Order: sequence, then structure tokens, then C-alpha cells
Amino acid sequence: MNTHATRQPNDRQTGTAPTVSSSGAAALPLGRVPVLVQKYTRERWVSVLFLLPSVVFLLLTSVYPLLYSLRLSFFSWNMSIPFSQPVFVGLKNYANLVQDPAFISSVKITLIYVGAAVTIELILGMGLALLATSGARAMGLTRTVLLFPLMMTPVVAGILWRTLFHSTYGVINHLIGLVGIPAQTWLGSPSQALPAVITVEIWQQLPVVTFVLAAGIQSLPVDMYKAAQVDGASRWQIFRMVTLPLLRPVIIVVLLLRIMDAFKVFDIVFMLTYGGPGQVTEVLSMLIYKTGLKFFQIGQASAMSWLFLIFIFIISFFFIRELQRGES
Amino acid sequence: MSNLKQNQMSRREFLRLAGVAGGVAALGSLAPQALAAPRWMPRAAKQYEGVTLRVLNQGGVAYEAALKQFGLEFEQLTGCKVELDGTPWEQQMPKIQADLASGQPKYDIFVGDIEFQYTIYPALMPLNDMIAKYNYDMEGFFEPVYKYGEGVAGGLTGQRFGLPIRVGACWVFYRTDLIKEFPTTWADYEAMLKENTGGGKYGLAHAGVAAQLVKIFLARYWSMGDPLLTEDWKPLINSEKGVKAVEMMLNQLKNYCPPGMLAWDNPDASNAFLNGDVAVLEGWAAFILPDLQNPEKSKVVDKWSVAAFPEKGTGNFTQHNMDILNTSQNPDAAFEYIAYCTGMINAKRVLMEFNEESPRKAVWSDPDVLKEKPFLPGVAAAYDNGKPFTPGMPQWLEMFIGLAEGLSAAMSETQTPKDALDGVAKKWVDLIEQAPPSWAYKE
Repeated sequence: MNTHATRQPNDRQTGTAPTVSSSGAAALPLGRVPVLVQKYTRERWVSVLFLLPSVVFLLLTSVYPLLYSLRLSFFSWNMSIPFSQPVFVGLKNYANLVQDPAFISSVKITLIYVGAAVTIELILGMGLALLATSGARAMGLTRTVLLFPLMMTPVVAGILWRTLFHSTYGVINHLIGLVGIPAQTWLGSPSQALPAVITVEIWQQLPVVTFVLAAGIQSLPVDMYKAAQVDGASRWQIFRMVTLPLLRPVIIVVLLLRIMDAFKVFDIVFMLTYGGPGQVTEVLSMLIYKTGLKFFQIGQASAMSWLFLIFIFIISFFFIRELQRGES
Repeated sequence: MSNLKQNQMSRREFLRLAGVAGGVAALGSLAPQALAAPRWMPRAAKQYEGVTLRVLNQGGVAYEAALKQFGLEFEQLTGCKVELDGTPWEQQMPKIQADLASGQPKYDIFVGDIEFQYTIYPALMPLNDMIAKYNYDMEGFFEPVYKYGEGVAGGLTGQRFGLPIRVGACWVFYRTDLIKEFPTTWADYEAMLKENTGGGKYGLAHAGVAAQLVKIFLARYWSMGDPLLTEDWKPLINSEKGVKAVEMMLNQLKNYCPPGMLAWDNPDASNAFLNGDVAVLEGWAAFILPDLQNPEKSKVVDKWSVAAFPEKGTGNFTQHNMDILNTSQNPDAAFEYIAYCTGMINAKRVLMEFNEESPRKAVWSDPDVLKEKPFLPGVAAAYDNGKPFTPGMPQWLEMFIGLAEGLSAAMSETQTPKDALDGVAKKWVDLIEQAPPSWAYKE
């Protein structure tokens, strides 16, 4: 057997020359680690150390509270009762929720809210984005005006619109009165309150959708449009068969972000109607807030939060899958 | 009405107070046995120099200005700074609970509805010893302050956790130019409302958001004679009388109230009365009393008065108490500040200067007060018979909001009055079962 050692040209100095067996494999002297492996191991440890604070912070502030709330969701605990202790009830909180009229109602209202707001935002946002990228006159000014709602915090927007919607002294009723429409009750009407709240949501979030879609449109290749024009396609055909398919990934991302955001709505509803009149505008986030932070029914609120989280996760998963499908 | 003081007190006022304080201290030191000096006056100048008291109080109420002004005066007298954190009523419970749960509570004093005590009493310092130590004057309060101001959750009898800065119940303000004699029965009341509705004007306004409907309901329900619960804690609100009270509210809302009122809060309803758009306002005095005689804000100057609800109805009696958190590092300073705010020395100022309802009945019949507010005796008589919404139990807030939401559902006609009240009754039963009281319910 030939055991003659051969020095490999790429080996680095370790103090002892590495050896290569007759089979060609590197044979390391006992007790010695090559510099390359050493350095890799050291770099890995250094990177772990750099990441550790962020990971620990994330674990403590996000993962641990999340898991703790999951645990609490299996307990019954009214913290407003002094010296009360959590009592294990298993899945009872979840079972109660699916029969709870208030919870079911708030889920329905939230779905209507999200569906209506996001759909209208997408349609109007697409229209505005096409206009904004069309080079039409005054679009510069329009783009600037569109920024105003974005500059307002939702709380301020809520106060502003609460004043505008006032049934007696509000500007909206004054303006519609000028064209002969009778004054409406808006936020005081069970049939008008939810549409009014949705209107404010659209007013505030439409600019986001517009700007993202406009950026997407501007990044589309011009050649496709020129080819379509040469082929004699109409504007609608170009929009339907060129713009929309090419913009699909952007649309999916916008929809995903807006849906997740709309589900979490709280401040606008809080300022405008506080869930009323009755409970016609009580979205799920408000119900969870009320149950957990006003009534301190911690177990119930945790169960609601987890159902909410699972629901949003399922919707997000669907959109991300669509996005990945499009990419592939 | 007199204007609020803006910043610091005048030099004359400061010297007067300092002189009284010094005189009292001198008398007390000379003959401590002979004279039971009221020691709730600051005893020595600047004895709390370097101390800062942090106060969590309800924001947006008339007495907030009083707390601020008294805080400035207290600082000048004792050196103790007072920092106020005014918070909307809706946020008070979450805020104080979060502060207590943090493990490092930062507030010394909590000021709010007495009902909050029913939940946070383990964190409050009983004041009985402090009241004795400083010879705090407990005379002259309205009866409910004594009857309902001690004990919590059926126990801790005799323990007082707070001293009231204001009391209140729902008042009925009415236009004296439109209504010559205020009706004393509900039937006549409705007839009067009908007479004053038309031509863009309305008979009645009140806050229509859920939480504010409770007092409107109670004024009608309690006038029919029944309590909210039986002695063994079974709800009575969904009885025939409860349904009748809600139907009365609904009928008045639909026929005699401005449209959209279900979205109105207290300031909106007050504005409607100040603008002369309605003949009657049912509401908290704190939101309108300061402006009624101000020609810049009111179109009904000298054209209004107050009346009792028909058939001896009364909204829930409230008391806003000043409590000391037992984690306070400065309990003596905290108590002396509370004594300064709530004591007899400033009770008249609370009523006259800040247009807030002083809890000291004694000052309501003061000649100076009566000269400016001749309507007060009628209100005072009603207050002595007032009763709070709930018994002292920790679940009070959820019971209150449950009733509020049920009433709002009935008013918005998303539920019938009977169904709405049945839902509330069921919720109350479930809540009471979470911590069944061991004592009989009584109002």
C-alpha cells in the first residue's frame, strides 16, 4: 500500500503539513483542524453572537407573549376580580366563541369591512394609478393632494370625519342639502354607520394603493404596449391583456398588505362610532380590545386573538401561494 | 357665571391662605387639647418641597380645571408639585390596570368614578386613619356619599378608599321661555316634548352613544319603582317595567329628538341645547353648566332652568373620588392635596368658580351660591335620594357596558327592547356567576 503523503497545493499552513492518503482523500494529522474549517467555525460563532440580541429580543417580545396568550386561551380568567386565578377550561373558550352572537357578528362585520374597503380601494386605486401615469395635466397636483390623507394619523382622521358626518352641524349634510338631498344620520344610523366608516378607511388608504400600483405600472416594459398598439389593440384590450397580467404580482402584494391592514382596523372605528350604534360597526379588533383590556376577560380575549391570527394567516397563505405560483 | 382663574392665585389670596394656615398652626400648638383645629389645612409652609405627586384623573370634566388650580395653590403653599394625567373615562381602567400590572406604578392618586374602586381596591390605601390624623371634616356631604362611599364588594365595611371631588346625577335642563311649568308625569312630559317638536326644533336631546344611554334608562326605569336585581341577584331589568322604560326611550328618540342622536356624545347634546335647537336636555351638568350663561357660547342665556325627572325618576348617582395608591411614596402629601381639593375650604369654589357639583351639600345653600344658582335646591333634594348604578362588585364595568350595548341595540332597532334586555339579563347572570356575591343585593 502506498501511504506516501502528498502536499495539496491549496492547503494552508497548519504547522504540520496535511497529508493525503493514496486514495486521494485529505488525511488530517490527529488533533489539528485546518485553518479553513477553523475560520468558518469562528465566523459562524461570530455571526451567531451578532444575531443573538435581536433573536432574544424577538423571542421575548413576540414569540413568548404569543405562546403565553395561546396558553391563556385555554384558561378562564377575569382579571377584574381581585385575587382571581386562571382556571383551566380546555377548549371551552373556543367552543363558546363559535356560538357567541357578538363574536359571530363582529367577524361578519369585519369581513364586510375588509371586502368592501379593499375592493373599492383596488378599483379606484387602479384608475387613479392609470391616470397618474398617463401624463395627463394636473396629475402632479393630484399626486400631491393624494398625500394629505396619508399625512394624518387615523385618530385625527376619525375626529375630522366625525365632525364632517355630524347629523346636525356636519359639512356633508350641509353640502348635500344644497342639492336637495335631505340630511342623513350617518354615524347614528345602523344602516349608514358601517358604510360611513368604510368611506373613511378608503379615503385614508386609497393613496397607498394608488402609489404602489402607479410604481408598478411605470416599471412595466414599454415594448409590450408598442407591440399591442401596432396590432391594433384598443385601450381596454391593452389594459386587460397587457397591463393586468403584467401587474398581477404587484396587485397580489397590494391586496395582501391591504387585507392584513384592514383586518387590524381599530382607531378609525374607535374614533367614529366606538362600535355603535348597537354593535353594527364593532369589528373584531374592537371586540378583542373591549374583552381583554376593558373587561379583563383574558382567556376569552386570548382565544379570540388566536382565531383572528389563524384567520389572517390562512388568507395570507392563499395570497403568498398565488404570488409564488405567478413567479414560477 | 364667574370665570375660571387662569394661572396662579392672586397675592392677596395666597397671603390669606398662608395667614389662616399659620394661625391655625399657632392655635393648635398653643392649645392642642382645647381646640380641635381642622388640620386639613397645610400645616407649615413648604413642608413637601421636592415632592411630586402624579395624578391619574378623568380628562375633559369641569373639575379637571379645579384639580389643576388647586395643584398650583398647593405647590405654593407646600412646595409639592402636582402633575395631572387627564385621561378619557373609557381609558381610565385600562391605564390604571396597566400601571398596576407593570410592577412599578407611577401614580400616587387616582381620581375617577367610585366604581373603579370596586376593581382596584387592593391597590388603594384606606383613608380612615388619614382622615383621623388630619381631622378631616367629614360633615356636610350628600347622603349617598356616606351610604355608598364605604366598603367594597359587600365587604370591608366602614373602610373608605376615596374622598369625593364631585358628585353628580343626570340633570334635566329645560327652556323657561318654551316651558312654563315643567311636567311631573311621564305622560305630560311626552306631551310637552311633542308640543316643542317641529319647524326644525326638537323637544329633547341627550347623548346617544351607548355608555350614555344607561342614565337615561335608569331615570325612567327607577321611576317605576323596581330595583335592578332581586336580593338574590336575579336581574329585573328585562321585566315589563324595563321593557316599558326602553320603549319610552325609543318612542322619544324617534319622534322628539334630533336625527342622528345615537352618534352624539355629551358635548353634542349640550351644544344642541346651547344653540337653542331643543327644549329639554337630559345630561351631565359638567358638560353644559360652565357655558350656559356665557353669551359667546350660549343662545339660551337667562332662558333656562333645571327640573327633576318626572315621577321621581333619577339617573344613577355618581361620585368621583380621589384615592391614594398604596404604592405612593408620599401618602401624607397625597392626602393633604386631596384634603385641600375636597375639604370645606374649597367646596364653595368648586361650585362657584369651576361650576362643578360639589359633594358638600352645605355649600349648595350658601347665600352667595343661591344668588347665582337659584335652581340648586331642587337638584340638591334629588341628590340626597340618589343611588349608584351598580353594587360594589368588580364586574361592574362589564355589567354597565353590557346594559349600555343592549340599550344601544334597542335604540338602533337592531333588536327589540325585550330581546335586548333579555340579552343583558343573561350577560349579568353569567358575570355574577364568575364571582357570586355572598351578600344580598340592595339599592
